[in-house]
Amino acid sequence: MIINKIGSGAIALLLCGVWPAGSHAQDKPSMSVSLTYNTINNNIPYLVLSAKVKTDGKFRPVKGQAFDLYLDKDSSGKGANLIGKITTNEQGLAGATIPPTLEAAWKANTAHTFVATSAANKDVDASNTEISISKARLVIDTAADKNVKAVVSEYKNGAWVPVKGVELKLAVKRQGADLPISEEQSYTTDSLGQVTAEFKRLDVPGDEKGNIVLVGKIEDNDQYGNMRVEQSVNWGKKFVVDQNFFHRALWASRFHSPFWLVFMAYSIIVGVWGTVIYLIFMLVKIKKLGKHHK
Amino acid sequence: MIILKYSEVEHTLTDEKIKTDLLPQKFGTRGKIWTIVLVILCLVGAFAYVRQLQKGLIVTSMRDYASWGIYISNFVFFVAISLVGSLITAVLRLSGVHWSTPLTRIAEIIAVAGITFASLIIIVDMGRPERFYHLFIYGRLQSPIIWDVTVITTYFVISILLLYIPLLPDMKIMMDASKGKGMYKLYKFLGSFWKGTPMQHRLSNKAVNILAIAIVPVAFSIHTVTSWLFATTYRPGWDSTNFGAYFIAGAFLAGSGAVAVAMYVFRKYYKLEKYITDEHFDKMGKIIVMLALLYLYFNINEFLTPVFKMKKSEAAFLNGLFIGEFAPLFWSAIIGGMLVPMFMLLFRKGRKPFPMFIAGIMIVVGAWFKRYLIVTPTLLHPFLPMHNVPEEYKHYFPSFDEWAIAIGSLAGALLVVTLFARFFPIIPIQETIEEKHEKEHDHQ
Repeated sequence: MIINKIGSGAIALLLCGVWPAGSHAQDKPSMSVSLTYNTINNNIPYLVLSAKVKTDGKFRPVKGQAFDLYLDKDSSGKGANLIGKITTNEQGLAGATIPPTLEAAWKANTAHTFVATSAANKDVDASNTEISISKARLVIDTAADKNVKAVVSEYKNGAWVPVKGVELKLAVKRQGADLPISEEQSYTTDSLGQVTAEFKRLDVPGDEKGNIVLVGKIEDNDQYGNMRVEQSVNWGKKFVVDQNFFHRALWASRFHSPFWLVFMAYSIIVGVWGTVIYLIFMLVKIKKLGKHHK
Repeated sequence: MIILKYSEVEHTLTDEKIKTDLLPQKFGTRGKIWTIVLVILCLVGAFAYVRQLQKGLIVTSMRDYASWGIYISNFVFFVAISLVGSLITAVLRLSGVHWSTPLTRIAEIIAVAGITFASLIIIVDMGRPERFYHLFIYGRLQSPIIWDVTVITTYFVISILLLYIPLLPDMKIMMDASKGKGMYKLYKFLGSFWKGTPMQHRLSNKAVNILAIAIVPVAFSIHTVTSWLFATTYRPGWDSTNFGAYFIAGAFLAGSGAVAVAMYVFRKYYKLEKYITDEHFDKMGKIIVMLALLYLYFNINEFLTPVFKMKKSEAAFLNGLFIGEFAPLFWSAIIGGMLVPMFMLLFRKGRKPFPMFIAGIMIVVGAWFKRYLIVTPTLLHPFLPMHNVPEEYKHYFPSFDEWAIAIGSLAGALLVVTLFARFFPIIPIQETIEEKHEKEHDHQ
């Protein structure tokens, strides 16, 4: 009997303590963290971290989650090569660039691993995400008229070596997105690390001198991350400012009313208000007459 | 009861009797209750407006579809009502009609009250009223809204002058009658300089004649421009070349209806049967019939051709008006606010004071709803329907705040007329005396 009581008490304790703890642990959604490596015009790279959780069958951004971001994190885990401590925003995004203090570590190797870690909290479990990249360079050459040459090189043994088989895109930068320069959506580099494409978007409007911005980009490459280069060329159509808005018209801006309207409106206003002022003058005269009358 | 014609009456009255009869009188119990009710309605409207200022236009039912509601209907109504000043004072005066003399001041105070509240209600419709001055600073001369602001301001000033200048001779009489009383200072401030010298009379008559001429084009402009606020936009029901004339005809009818109501009320409660006679009602009734026929013509002109063509893009709007959601209101406004009063007034018995009063009320109420029908159904049936808007955006029924403000503004206009009648003679005293003398002189 005593054993039974002890046993049932133990079960009760388990139910009250362990089971709820276990159920609580199961309620925590698993966090999905991704890290991307990006460069623009081959300048200092920057990292973008995205954190999401899946609830009710939908991914939702995790706001306010703190991460430690490391460059080639050492095994001691004492914070060596710390790029920075970052916190996600409303979209679950956070970013950082490699600080000057890590310049030596960055230059020491041609390939690097970036590590993002976050501690567990009441909402999500601890997480650890890595991304490995090799240093690369993307260059576009517009020396030939209406032809674009792009070259992808990787830094190996102190020199830039052309890379074959890298998929890249060539486009024109527009207001909302990038417009491919021809019907081809993407190109793959040859054994010289090059792609060549003809610029066919001859109708794309540029600025007043016809300047447009050409874009070369490598997206979500496993080895090189995201790379983007931009270069201005005057291959676009020259933009001619539509002067109609500044001519005198009914639809024109203020102070550009048509002359006939200005003339008519002011004639009427002057005529009517001139009459009103004359009437007020008459009223003043009536008043003066009354004051001088004995 | 013997009812005398106005021409017969004037011979039996002495100058002193006319002065006594026409001087403003203290309100009785009914007058006081009426004034208190109007003040309460104004306060409720002011309270609702404060709420609207605090919370924004979200307190109204106006949304993406019906962006103009009863505020703008009210604005058009007030502008319409105010036009009667030009009809009675100017058009009839310039036509050499003298029987309208007792009605001129009634028409003018209705005009001033109407144009004042038209100006106020348009500010109420603004989501950011503190930016009202932007109209003058940033306004474009090409915009009909600027034209409207200009003509409303002009009409307001002219109407005030047309009310004030003919009032000057009466000020002296009122000063004499109110010596030692509270209102004496006001009368003194407004008209102590009037001594009745021949030169003053000459200048005053000249000023009124100029005003009578000036007010006609301005009055036509004010309502034509108001109609252009609608007609210059491309929308079903507003895209019309008929709108200016259609609005003016409707405005004269609405204003005349309001004058008929005011004539009856002032005659009955101020006991002015000797001055506003059955003959005045009879003549005013005939004018209303003529105006109703004119307005009927413009209504037929406005609706027949679009209904005949029934363009697909306008079909929803026209069907809504004739057989749909707005049909009961539309036909009530046409039949009750125009046809029935017109038929009533076709008969001599219908042009007696009380039937005229009823007809006047029907015309005024019908006119208000007609303005609502001009503004709202069009907005609810755009050529390009919006996508993904909540269902309630496609219907419009004014909120409490809108009703409170609209009713408050109507009460405000009535309060202006009421208070004016309390402190100033609603029938010109000096002019009545002078006309009596002229008639006596003619008889001799």
